Amino acid sequence: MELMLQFGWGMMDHCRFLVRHWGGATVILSPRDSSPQQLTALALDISIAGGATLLDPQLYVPDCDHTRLTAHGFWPQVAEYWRDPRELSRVITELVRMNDELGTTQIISPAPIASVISDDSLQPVVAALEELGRQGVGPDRILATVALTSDAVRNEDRAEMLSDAIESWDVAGIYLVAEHPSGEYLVTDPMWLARILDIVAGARLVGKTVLIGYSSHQMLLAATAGATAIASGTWMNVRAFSARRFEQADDDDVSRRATWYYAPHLLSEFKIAYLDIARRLGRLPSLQTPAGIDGSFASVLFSGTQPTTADFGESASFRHYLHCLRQQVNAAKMATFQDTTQGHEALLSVAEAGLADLRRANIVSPERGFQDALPANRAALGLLIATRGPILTMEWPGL
Amino acid sequence: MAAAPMDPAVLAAHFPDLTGITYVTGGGQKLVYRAVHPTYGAVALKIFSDLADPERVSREIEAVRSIACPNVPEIFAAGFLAGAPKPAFWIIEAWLDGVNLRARMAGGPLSDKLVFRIATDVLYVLSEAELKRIVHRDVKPENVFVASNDGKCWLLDFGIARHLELSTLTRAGAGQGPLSPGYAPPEQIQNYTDKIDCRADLFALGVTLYETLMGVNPFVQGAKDQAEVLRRVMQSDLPRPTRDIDSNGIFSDLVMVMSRSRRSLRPRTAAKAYTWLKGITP
Repeated sequence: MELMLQFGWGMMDHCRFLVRHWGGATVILSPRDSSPQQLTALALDISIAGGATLLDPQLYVPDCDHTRLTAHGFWPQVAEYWRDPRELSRVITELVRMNDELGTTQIISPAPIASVISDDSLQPVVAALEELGRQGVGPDRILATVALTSDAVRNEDRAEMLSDAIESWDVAGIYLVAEHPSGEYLVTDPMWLARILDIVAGARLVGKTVLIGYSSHQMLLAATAGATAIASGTWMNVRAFSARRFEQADDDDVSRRATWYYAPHLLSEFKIAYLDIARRLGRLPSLQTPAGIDGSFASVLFSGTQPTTADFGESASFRHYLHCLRQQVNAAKMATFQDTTQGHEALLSVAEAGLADLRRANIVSPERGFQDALPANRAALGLLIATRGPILTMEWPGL
Repeated sequence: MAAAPMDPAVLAAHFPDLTGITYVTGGGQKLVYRAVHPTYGAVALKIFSDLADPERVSREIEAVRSIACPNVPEIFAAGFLAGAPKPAFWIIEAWLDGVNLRARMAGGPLSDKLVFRIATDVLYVLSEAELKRIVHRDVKPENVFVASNDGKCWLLDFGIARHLELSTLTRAGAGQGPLSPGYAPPEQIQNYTDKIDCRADLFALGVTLYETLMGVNPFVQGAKDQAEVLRRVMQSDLPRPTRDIDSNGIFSDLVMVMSRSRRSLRPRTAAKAYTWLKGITP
């Protein structure tokens, strides 16, 4: 599995830096957060740094009032653009042109968010794919967007309809974006997670690649279903998908600023003040990033000084998170399905034990601790093993 | 209602190459005779009744000839009988010594070796049929024939087989198409013709293999009527067989996966299932 960078507000420098630092990575560009000129400049920078780009058209809410988003040339003039052949043609023409100019590796086809899986809600995807075909874009170059509300994800009765649709689309893969239930950052609903795994595994088993957008470290779980890549970023709003973010421009993207330290072995992020407590109690080493994952972005927190007085700001926090996540993503998918599932179970067990140990010392992270998500990950994984385990075991070498 | 057998003497006049024509069995759609051919030896002469749809008969003949697999009885000749007592299609195919799987199961539990042989031979046919874009659509114990000497299996009766490149003879959504309750998968019950592919046959074979392992078909056992059988298929999955024929239980995993109610949870192709099977050491 691969980690891609989901571009969000204030990520330009981070993208440039990390792509250079890693010697390559794919950045998913965001029209919501960039003007056409900025997109072009960033794509060029990323290319020079040895990276690649994709463009998320973000047509999740076509009739939105987001001024920066709607200012892009590909934005439709009518909400149901897929029902208007001329407007659909114009939208796709502009998107293809934009992708060509940016030099993206593949084209992400547009789709509005679906609140229920039905022939009607899948029609925009089909219409866009047909139009891309008419304009000579080969299937190998296309990722079809599957954008779902949390209710649409959870509805098991429609699972087969989505599986059938994905199988029938002549595309290289899908770009899956799904709203979390109840706006949770770390999802505690096991059925939502189970359905995500089912969608991923179903698509992979019919030969499609799967890129999961707007992901947090919780989506390390997706490796067990054979996901090709997940995309994550700096702020919470690029680690958890919400269509509301694309409805109207808001000024509070960065309003709830806090600096977090990600302890990858605990799958949890902590406010730095809790690291101070840990230091006083002699428990700071329990929070330190294991050597194989560490990128030294957070070393200063463990250098002996009081963590809140250390020079560990937002920038280092983001880079630390993304670097650690990349290491974890690279290691998440193993040679066999059994190894991969056991690897994830071990990851959960280590996190559980570590969090319990810290909790006894009152070192907690109520907002971003993984303790409540552990059972959901386990339950979803258990269902995946029960329903698709044998076939994933057999097909794993080809996934 | 079964048609009355024709007089062998009348048939002998129509088929001068055949000797020793003897009536064997008959159903609503066809009568079966045993005979001897100077080139092919023992053969089965099948005379279709006037209830048989000519288009379906010709598709069956075409399907069998196109698959050309050692586990499908070879059709040596076929034609139309214009004479008495009624016009009818006929075929002459290889004679098989043995019994169908339903009868074989009635004789007691099947050995691990035979269960594996059934799976291997029928999956081989399905993977060959898949290459020719043919779906059998009626895999069930009655249509699997087991040789009395070495346990070799044949898949019979391509009477409702469908060539995926040809138009369907059953309108999509037109109620139920032809099917065998308890073996036909949900997509066939719902007559979603565009969703019926080799995975429909994998489902039916999965149920059949479950029955060979466990001795019962849970979709059928104790059901009060056909509607209940269909409802069970639509609403539930078969449990994983509790009998394993290999040390790792992979065969039972395969049976469970093939018989999944959701099409997308089954192996995507018969070839994949066959490859899976070939990796098992019983």
